[in-house]
Amino acid sequence: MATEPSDEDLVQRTLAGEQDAFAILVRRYRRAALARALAILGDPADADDIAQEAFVHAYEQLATCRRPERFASWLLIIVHRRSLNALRSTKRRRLAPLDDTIIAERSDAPMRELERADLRSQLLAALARLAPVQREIVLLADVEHWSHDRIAAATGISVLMSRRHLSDARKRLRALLTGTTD
Amino acid sequence: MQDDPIDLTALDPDADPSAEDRFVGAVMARVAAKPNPYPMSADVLWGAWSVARPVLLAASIVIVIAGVVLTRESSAEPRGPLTVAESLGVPMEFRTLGAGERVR
Repeated sequence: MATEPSDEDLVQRTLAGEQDAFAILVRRYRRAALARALAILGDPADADDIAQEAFVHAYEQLATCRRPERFASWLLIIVHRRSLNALRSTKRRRLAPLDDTIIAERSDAPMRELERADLRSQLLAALARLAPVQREIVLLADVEHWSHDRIAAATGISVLMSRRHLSDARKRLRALLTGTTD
Repeated sequence: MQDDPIDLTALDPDADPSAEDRFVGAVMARVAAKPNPYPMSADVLWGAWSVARPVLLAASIVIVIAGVVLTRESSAEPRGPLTVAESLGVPMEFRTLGAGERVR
């Protein structure tokens, strides 16, 4: 059975001129990059833009990645910085709820789509009330299903702190979503 | 339970099945639009040469040393007779005569 190429191997192949190797890295870490960008920006469309920019920047600067085996951590730092820069430049301080016009445009969409959009907007609003680190960890754990070991390695915090943040984030989110808090 | 995972599937970026391909395609299109900072080597054996270079160097040194040793050994070996006269033990003064001269 063929084994998945390691990050290190894919980085080396990209540096040797094989762009397809980088496409595998993009596919592998797209969701993690989106989760981190969303944790900071709060808007899925903005998160998508910033994650794309981060990958392009990572490609251009790949030769400076000193530890190719830790490509994921390196990439997520780029996503983090770019997200913060975007946040500062647009003065976004809060998560914006889904635009009413978008909902209106979808008025002919199936009811399930509308319910999903509504739930999404509620989740985004609740996530906006969490600390950025809690947002990121709950997204990585409950959307990406990453282990605490992996989250700790990617975010640079301890496994213990990852568990604590996740627990606090879930409690707070539950309270926000059920309306048992302010 | 308080610590159970929260259902965040509404935030799943792959709710749209084509989202992954669209994202990867967009990134790679932007990458392709820029000058390639990592051009592929024109030498298809680029990787092989880098691995084989030390081996080839060591092999060439061994060949040179072996050549020198063999040359020395062959020059040190006793020389056999060059002519029939020499092999028969004809004294040297008779062997130096030219073909047209006869011993009277």
